[in-house]
Amino acid sequence: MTGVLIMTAVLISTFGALWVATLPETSKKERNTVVVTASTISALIVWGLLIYILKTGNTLSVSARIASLRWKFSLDPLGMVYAVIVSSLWVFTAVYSLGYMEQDQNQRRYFIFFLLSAGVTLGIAFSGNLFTLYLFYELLTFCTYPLMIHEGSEEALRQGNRYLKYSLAEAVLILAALVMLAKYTGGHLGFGTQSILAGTEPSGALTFLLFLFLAGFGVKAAVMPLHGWLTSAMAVPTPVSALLLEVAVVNAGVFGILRTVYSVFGSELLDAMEVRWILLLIASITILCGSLFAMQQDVLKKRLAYSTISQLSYILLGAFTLHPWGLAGAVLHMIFHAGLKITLFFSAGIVMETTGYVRVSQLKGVGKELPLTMGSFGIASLGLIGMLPLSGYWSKYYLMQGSIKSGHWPLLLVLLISALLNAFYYLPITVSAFTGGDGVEPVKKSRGLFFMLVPTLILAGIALVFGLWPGLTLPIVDAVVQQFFIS
Amino acid sequence: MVLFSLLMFVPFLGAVLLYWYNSERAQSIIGIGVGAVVFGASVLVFSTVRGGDSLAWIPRSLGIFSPSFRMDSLSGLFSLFSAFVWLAAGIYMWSYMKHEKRTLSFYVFYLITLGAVQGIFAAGDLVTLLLFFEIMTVSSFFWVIHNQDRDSLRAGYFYLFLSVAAGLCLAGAIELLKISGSSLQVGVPAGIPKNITMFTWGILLLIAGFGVKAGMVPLHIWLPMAHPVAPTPGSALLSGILIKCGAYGLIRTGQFLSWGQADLIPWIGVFVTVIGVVTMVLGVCLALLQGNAKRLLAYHSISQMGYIILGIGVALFLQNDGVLGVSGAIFHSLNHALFKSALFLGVGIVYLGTNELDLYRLGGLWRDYPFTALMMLIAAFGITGTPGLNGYVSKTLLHHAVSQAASTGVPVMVWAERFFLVVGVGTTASFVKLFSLTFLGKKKTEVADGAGEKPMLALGMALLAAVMVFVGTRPYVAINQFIAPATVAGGMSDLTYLQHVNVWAKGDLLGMVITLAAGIVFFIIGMKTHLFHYQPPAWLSIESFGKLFVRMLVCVGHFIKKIYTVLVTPLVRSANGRPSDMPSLQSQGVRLLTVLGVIILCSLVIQFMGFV
Repeated sequence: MTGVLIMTAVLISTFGALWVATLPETSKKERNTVVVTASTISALIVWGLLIYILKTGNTLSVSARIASLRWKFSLDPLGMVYAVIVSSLWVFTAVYSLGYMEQDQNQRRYFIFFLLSAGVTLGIAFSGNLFTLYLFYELLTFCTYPLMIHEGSEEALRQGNRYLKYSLAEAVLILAALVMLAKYTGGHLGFGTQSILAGTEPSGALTFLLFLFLAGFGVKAAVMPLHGWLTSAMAVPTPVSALLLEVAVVNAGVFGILRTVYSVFGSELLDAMEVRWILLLIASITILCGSLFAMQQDVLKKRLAYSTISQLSYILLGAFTLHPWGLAGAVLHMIFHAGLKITLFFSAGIVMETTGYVRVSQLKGVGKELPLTMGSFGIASLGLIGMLPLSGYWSKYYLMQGSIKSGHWPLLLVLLISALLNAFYYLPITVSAFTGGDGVEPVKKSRGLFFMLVPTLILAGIALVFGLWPGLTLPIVDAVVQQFFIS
Repeated sequence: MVLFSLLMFVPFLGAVLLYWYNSERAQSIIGIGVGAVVFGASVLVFSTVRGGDSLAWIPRSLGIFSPSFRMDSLSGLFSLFSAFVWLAAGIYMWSYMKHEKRTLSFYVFYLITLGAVQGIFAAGDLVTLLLFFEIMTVSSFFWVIHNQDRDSLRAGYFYLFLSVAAGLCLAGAIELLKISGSSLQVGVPAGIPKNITMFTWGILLLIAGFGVKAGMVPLHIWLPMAHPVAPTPGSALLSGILIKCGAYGLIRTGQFLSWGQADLIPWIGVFVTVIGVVTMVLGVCLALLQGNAKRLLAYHSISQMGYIILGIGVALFLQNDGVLGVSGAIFHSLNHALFKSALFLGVGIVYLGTNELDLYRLGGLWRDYPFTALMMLIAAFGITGTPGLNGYVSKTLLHHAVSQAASTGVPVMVWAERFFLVVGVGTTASFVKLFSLTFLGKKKTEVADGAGEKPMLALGMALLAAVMVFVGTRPYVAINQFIAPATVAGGMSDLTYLQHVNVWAKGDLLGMVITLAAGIVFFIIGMKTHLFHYQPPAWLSIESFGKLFVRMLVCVGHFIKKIYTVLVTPLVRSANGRPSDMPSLQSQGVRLLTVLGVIILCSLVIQFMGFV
């Protein structure tokens, strides 16, 4: 039964995509219904599965041998975290896209690939062995590519090309790592209660393997210096950069690294390999440099992209501490950062769509025309800095606890300094939007604006709810920590 | 629970209500009404906890975050006087806000900040305190940028960034204290922590975090910029109450350390004392040089906060005998809230009529503003420590504490006592300057028609002045009924020194009179020699430091980016890239990476075949 549900969750969006493909470009209403329904149903199924595994504590798996390849899907808490984030945010983005795409000529193509990517991300989340993970991971690249070049301009094509090149490099590296790993384990690649390499002695070859994996997954996780594709993808429609690039795709990379660290190597082996300090150093450098580079950007989307790079490494930092508190912080930050960053992108998208401004320096006085939009932007940026009534504080709380408890107190400084840098480059945007510039042109308020505004406001509200009741996330975080530390 | 809700949530509700009744009259009525409700609630709270009990409310929690609220007579006292000053400012705003733009936003943030400040005092643990601390930061930020001109924006950014840094310091302190194994509850000594290094750093971060709000040197730099640019009621509350949240936090930090009794950090008393003395001296010196009335008052807030920090430091130094330091600090917080907000409100009345804040262009205004002049005189006497007014009593307590510390012979404390007297002279001189240049002498500006004293403006000031006179003339009532219970709740159980203190001792009276006389003489000399017109060179100003800091950060960013480029360039020179174009360079790098990956992959596959 659960197996059927897993497959349904993965496939329902694909069916939706096929359905959309059969509809003509003009039948807008039907298409919109299909898009929203498909993403809602798959989100509901994922929530149902989440409640199921939290209640029963089972991890279930389905496997099949198709074309002599061993496909395996399984449910475990870590995968559930990613699945729940992505599928829930997909519903919001679907609604937002309806508003954003209202005037677009190629809506059919857009929504086909939009739904296909939804299925693929769930495939990543539920994959039960490294091979399945790898296949879906590469499928994600090819499902998101058409969305990236949606605009069709030369600029967009060039950026899409760069994305493909990076993805190709990453595919090769991960495949190399897979082959090497398969050699080590004799073909055993499935995720289980124990890590794949548990019980192995540390060696130089394993260290090489680890960095091969990191270089591979690090591309999508935008670890510096492999972040170039993310910061150059500027000609992308906002819903795409909001959800696909800045949440689904980059978190797929982070998810891959979490899998590498905890399901492939395991914290005990990594501890014995004594590579923790290098990993933490890489994450810290990315955190600080990402924030420093973000300060120099005037293009709003670019600033947000650099901030994403920095924030993703918070998650990695937590994972690399190899400490239960750090892992809890990583999981929390994955959840909270996704919600906050998507709010920022949604509000930025509304501003860009209604006013045409793309630069931070142009935003003076925009808040007087779009108070709710810029208000949500302000709330989300306060959340990313980690101010208290908002969710971002709690993930940082756990990350700091994890970094001190694992014996790396300088990480506390890294986190605090980066938070201050966040304040430097986020707060002036909101402040100048509400103060400067008296002669702002009135904004034309279309019907699409409503569809865009509602998800933005709800997401900002959710950040506040999680900030006051962070315990709501406790069951899932607990389950992930237990999965990798207590069993 | 009802009382806590009245204190914290009624203001938030009021802020929501303002949106429904969006008229000028409704704003004033809601403002005063909420102020009155909160004041009433705080009176009830204080009368309940005065006997030594404490009120607690622990809402149902959902795991990670379990907010808790607890009020004892220390937090009760702070909540009481802040609600009172808020009410007075609310009454004042009845007339004042007619002259301001965007009154709705000001009223909204006036109420939200009230709720946040009461929340800080009501918080039962550090995380809850941080929650309200951050709300206060954001909402009071809108007071500072209210005018939306260049000055207020610049001041606003300084305030915002330093306050965010303060919040981060507190967040870091919470982490460290939690790991060091001490409790995070407010109003309870920490006990013996497991890890003393973590604990020490945690306490230092706590002091830094609260120090930013308290205007502690060198973290004070936002204060003289931010306080003057807000609308007058905002300035009064910023200087009167908001910095007291910092003082409250510092007092609680002292209590956390059991006032040094456990000797966890032996040097902390001397450390805090030195900071207190530097804050006092620097504040008063810079205040003397100011020509702008509001800036002068703002620098005096720093100087007077120095007194409070000094009291805390002396108490930490004297440990078990430090009761006078603690009670002096608490008492001076209350007094400073009263006279500093009264002074700001008075300056605001003058500003309404003359549109002028430059002292050198004012003069002879006592004829137009006789009542304001009287109130300002009382407040000025209060802050200079004239016998018969409230400042005298708290300064005498603090002075007793410092002399007690000085009698141990530790050089820092001996010097602290000397500076204490010098700062008194400076304070007197600058308030003689403020009062005489504004109200006495020849008239230099015309007062606009119909901009005289209004009953509501006067009432706001009169309320504050009445309390000042009451406290000043009946010091023992204030000490026994208010300060002593608060001191006990602040963790100082041995009240012997406080019970035997004689504020009317001849020596103290004489000392104060001499200080006042010396201050007047100093003022006359200063005016004659144009000493007060000395302007420090531009590079010393705060703005230039701020600019330098931001420029430094940007430079660091550029530098790192340059290194990044230099590191990546040789990797990709071999490919046919344009060396100056960063993005294309990166994609060439990727091409190289791909080639490398393919080579690795191929070799692996060959090996793998062999293995099979």
